[in-house]
Amino acid sequence: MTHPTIANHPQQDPPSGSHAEQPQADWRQSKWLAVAELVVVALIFVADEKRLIPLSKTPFLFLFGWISLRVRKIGWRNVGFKIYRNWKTSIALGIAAGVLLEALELFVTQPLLVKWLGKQPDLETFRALHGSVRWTLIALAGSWTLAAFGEEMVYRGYLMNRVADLLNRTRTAWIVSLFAVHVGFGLAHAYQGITGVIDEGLMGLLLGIIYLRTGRNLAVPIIAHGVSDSIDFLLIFFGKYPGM
Amino acid sequence: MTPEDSQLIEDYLGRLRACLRELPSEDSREIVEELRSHILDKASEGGVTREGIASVVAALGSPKELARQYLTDELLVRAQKVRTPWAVVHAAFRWARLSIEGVLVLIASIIGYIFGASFFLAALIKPFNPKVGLWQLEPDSYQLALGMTDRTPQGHELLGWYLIPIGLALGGGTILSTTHLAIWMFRRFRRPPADWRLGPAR
Repeated sequence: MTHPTIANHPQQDPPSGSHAEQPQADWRQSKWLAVAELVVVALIFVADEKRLIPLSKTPFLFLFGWISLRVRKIGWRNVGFKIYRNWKTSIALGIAAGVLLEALELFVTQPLLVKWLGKQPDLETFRALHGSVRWTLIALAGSWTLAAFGEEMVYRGYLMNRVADLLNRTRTAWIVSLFAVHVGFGLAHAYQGITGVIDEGLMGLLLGIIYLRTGRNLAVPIIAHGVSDSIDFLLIFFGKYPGM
Repeated sequence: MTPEDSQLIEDYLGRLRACLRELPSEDSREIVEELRSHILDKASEGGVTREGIASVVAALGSPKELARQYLTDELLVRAQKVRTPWAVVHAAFRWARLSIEGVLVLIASIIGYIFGASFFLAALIKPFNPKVGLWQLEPDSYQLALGMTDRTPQGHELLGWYLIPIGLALGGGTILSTTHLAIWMFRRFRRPPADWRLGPAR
């Protein structure tokens, strides 16, 4: 049986020697492998929806993504886990992007969505943070590990690359991947209600655009995501988050 | 330089010229001439060789991609001249397709213009519809809404008729400062496409 293979994969140059002469035989670059992985990812989403997964699905998706990369003999570095130009630029761009995304959410997208849908995002999960230093510190730790680091590695680093693999990593493939993955990213925030799903999907989409526009680098989206979530949690702590 | 070397450069420039059709022919000619001297300048750094020219042409990327950068650059230059919100957003949108700086300027411009336009429009509509205002939706809440609300029993309007001068000043000021900030970012981070690809000419 022959496998359709993934072309134009910058991180997966054809190996030298006998493998290079028979690239079709390399199952690691098979699209069927990518399809199988995406089915498993979908199953993890379903299991999470049925509350079979403790705490959060992000660590499970992260672990699965890591296994996938190891199996294909590449690493997180190959999907963009490295500094962007230099540390100073990565941090400055990350903070600027995080503040801007948060401002866009608070001043533009969320008010418009609340107006159109008539519903605030359901942030009951985070109500315990109001006035509690302990819970806010825990939430901040979670926002930089599970959310910023974990979600960026999973959604931008692993899933966007894997969906793009299916479509040969062309310009169109990346655009399709950007939208497809962020529908999933929005749905992953279903606990925030319809306003939260659309709002988070949109924020994910913008983080995805930042990932692509930094030459597929994860440092800037990770810092931006962490900064944006940290501002959210600090606003909730001080009781100044809109609608809470 | 041999005729084959010249042909290599001319082929590339010919394809670039075809992709720059959108521009006035004078601008397109100027870009092509400037790029020709830039290529020759770079290629001559190690003595003009076939390999040197080929590697400089390869570093420029595809003519289509380079043309896209020149077209964006023209929009950025135009926005700096005309300084209108539309020109700024149009240029930022094209720039966002090429670089992270463009993405950030586009997001900042959208926030600034929507925030400013909302206050400006609210101030203009206020004389015709007194229900328009800056509403505090619930007592002891920090949630404010600009415009009309059907939640008036609990809501409380904060500015009254002061919305008109405040809205015009705040809205207009935000629109102007957004334009200034975007133009400053264009000047600060924009680099001519050939310089970006090959490094500045000597």
